[in-house]
Amino acid sequence: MVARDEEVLSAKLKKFRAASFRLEGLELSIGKVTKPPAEEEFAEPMGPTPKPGIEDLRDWDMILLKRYPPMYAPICDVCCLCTYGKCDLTGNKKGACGIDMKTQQGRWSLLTAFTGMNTHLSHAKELVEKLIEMKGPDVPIDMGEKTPVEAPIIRVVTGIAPKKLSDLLEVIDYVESQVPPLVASIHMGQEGSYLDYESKAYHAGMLDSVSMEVADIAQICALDLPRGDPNAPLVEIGAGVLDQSKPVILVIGHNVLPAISIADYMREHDLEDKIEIGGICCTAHDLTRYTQSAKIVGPQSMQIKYVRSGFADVVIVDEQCIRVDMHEIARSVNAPFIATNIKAMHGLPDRTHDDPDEIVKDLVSGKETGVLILDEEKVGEVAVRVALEVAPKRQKFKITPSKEEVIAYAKTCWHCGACTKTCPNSLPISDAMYAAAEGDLSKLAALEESCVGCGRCEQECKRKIPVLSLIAKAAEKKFREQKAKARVGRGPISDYEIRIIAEQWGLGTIPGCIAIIGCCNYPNEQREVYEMAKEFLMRNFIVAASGCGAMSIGLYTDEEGKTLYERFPGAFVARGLCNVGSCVSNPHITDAGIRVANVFARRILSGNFKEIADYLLNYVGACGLVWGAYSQKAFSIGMSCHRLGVPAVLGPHSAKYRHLYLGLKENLESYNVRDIKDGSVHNLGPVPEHLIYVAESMEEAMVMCCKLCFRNNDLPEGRQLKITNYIDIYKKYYGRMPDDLHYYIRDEFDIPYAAKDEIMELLKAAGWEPKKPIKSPTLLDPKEIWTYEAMRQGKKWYTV
Amino acid sequence: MGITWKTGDVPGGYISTKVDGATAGRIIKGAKNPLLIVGKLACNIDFGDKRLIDYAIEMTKRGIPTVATAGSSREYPEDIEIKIMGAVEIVNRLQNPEYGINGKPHDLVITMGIQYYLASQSLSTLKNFAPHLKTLALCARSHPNATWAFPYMPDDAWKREMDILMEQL
Repeated sequence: MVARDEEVLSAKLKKFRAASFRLEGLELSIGKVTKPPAEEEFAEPMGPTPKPGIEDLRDWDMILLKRYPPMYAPICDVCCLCTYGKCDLTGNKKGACGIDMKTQQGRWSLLTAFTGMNTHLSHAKELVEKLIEMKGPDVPIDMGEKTPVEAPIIRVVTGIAPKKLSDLLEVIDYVESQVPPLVASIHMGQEGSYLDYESKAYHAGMLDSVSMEVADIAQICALDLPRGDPNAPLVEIGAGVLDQSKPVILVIGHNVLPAISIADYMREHDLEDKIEIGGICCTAHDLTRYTQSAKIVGPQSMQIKYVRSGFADVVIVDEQCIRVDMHEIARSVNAPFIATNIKAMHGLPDRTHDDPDEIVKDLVSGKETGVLILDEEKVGEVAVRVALEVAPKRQKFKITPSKEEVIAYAKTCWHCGACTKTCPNSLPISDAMYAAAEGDLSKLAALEESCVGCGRCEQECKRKIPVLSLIAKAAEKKFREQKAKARVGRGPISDYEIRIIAEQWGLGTIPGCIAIIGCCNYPNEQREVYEMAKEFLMRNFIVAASGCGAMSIGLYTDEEGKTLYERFPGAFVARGLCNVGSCVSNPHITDAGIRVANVFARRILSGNFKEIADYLLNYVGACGLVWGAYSQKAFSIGMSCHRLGVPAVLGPHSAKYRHLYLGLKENLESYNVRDIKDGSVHNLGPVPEHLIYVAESMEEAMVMCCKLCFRNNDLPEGRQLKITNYIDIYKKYYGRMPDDLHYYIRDEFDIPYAAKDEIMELLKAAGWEPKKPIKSPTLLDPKEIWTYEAMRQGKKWYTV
Repeated sequence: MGITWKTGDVPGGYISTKVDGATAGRIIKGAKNPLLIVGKLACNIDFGDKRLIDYAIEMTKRGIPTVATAGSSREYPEDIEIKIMGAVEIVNRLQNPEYGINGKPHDLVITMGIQYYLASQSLSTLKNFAPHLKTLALCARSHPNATWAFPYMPDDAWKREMDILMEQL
């Protein structure tokens, strides 16, 4: 592996003959030699922490953790990670190794973030290595002329500005170098502080964002996916989009290379009109960024219901969030199954090196119901040929029952309630069975909207009722007719767009950016995600989206039959709805904030994490809305945002992540900031109030998102606008005026004109006194603001 | 074989004592400064002639300091004094033994109408990090992390126990 400032020196000597000796076939390899740095005029100076280790950003973490201390909610009161245990830690008792409950919860934070981070790291490494193999190491990292800063978070963390695909290997090397100490600290008898565990979890989260960015820019550049295109094409989405008169290939997961190979094979053999290819979860996002002949079936929760319904003739899985029993499910409907990744081999025979003819023959004949193929190109050929041959035999064989069978099953129900007890959303399945037994399937069909597709109900049922299959049958009409449009993942937000919007966003006159990201473990109907996106768009927010959340937004239409993607522009503007893409596209959203720091405030990016995070926390009004987060990846993505100063509101299931970062607004001193100009200490109110918050209902989530977009740097007209939004949404959903306005109104210029008298009365009653706004707030020691230090030293550099 | 109401919600060795409506009423009555936390689901749980939120409002009217979470405040008449806060916000504050929404420390926290798993996690926080507090979960989907909880029961029995509880106050 060769870094940007290194090259490999090697020399070969065929023959050399001197008077006293002879040399033949000499090969000399010196390995890596560091080149003298090229003199780049106005190159950005390197910040203080390029490629930081665990200890390098710890002081920033402690600043955050002091303001937003972790609140823990243990899932399990015991520790069973070593043979000293089980140790009961209830009530913050200590276990045999000395660990107390809080520290154990901190350990869980690290364990969860670390698992998520490594999943993306592994994904990124595979992608980069395979893409170098396919396209060569010199593919330029080029996000288009409107986006000269190609990889903001990579620059901020590592100081590397990758120019070509192989440069990403150095970034991966750095992330990998951080793995051993992180995982070692999970071992018993290591870390003894919950705050240090949280700091390490932050570190894992930050590394996750670097890994995700590596993965996405690699695939954007090597596969020519949209490069920050606000007019990225619309693509069909919904359970009914795949033409059932044709053979159907279903791809599930996150690593798009096998799916792309299938699409390529179809194109090369002129089969695009003869076969349907669709995806579930993020592979669908990335595949449709590559070709719009592919379609998005839906989010992760669709897996069992869709496959059991018989729609897929071949099922291909890659990695992450795939049902680990998908082979069994595919087998039940006679759909051949192909696993394609070493991380998910499912006990299948490895046919990677076999002749495709043999593999196709075995899968079509049923000799093998599933195979492992670790060669993308071969997957493409085998999947397509198998689909063509299997489809006429399968005849869309399904195991969803007929209506008569549903009724018969429902009549066998004992109504013991075991299904509801085990259901994550406690769905009233028993009530639906009563109705179904009478021939009314509407209640079963209605469950589909809130069903997360986990199948636990079936595991618990003593009568062996295939509840999910009954729901799928009842919702059959919806499945067949659900067709809508979503904008394909556009990739990065361009520097050009940021230049246009930076001032309004940075000063608060756009009320904020809401990032609707994450998985589909929704507490209620999937429709809530659409409703929340609509509300924020109508309120002039910028809405960014990714992953399953971006899919859920696209599944609903208005009275004119249009989705939000058709109604609102795909640009990063107020009232813009930007789908950035899959899970690994998430850093593009936080990158938008980093770009503001760069474009608007001329802050140094390279190796300057603390300053940039401090900037985002104080200046850039943004909030994540992660309504269905369930995976370890979602947790680590969250940690990457929080270390960077971006708060998030999570759905109620996420209380099971065990930790939150909550501020206490009455402890005003904890929100003190300093003025960069003179270091003086000020209090501008509890802004933003929390860093990770769990909301119980979508109404609470929307109210809190509005509030968590307040920033210390808001101009009076910006804060006025934000307060107006806050009051309006609070009254709409809580039925009263908020009782905490005195915390957020700094002086009378912040008070919305329309309700000035009413608000003044409330402020008086609360004993409010005006605070003097400052223009340059920071949580850091002003001497640590690297940009200003560089300016003091007379350095000049080019900013986008 | 006995199992928790929510399969898998098995926290550890310390689990709630199950109580009926009469006992729950006496526990509330015996508390010096109880706190009621009412979640959004209370508005949706309908017993026919009465909803769960109506019991909550009645308890507030009888002088129990109340926090309404997640929009349950919409059901409260404006002249009834309540605090509006997120469930996680009030639970976070309750870890402080000095904290009380009426300025005095609470000794009993009563929960009702909060999403099961969020309530379970909230009660876990209080169990583990607020040893100064007792907790009472008035939910028919029994909570292992509370000090006292209703056992699992169908809605008609739940209503009956709530009626008995109210008679005690």
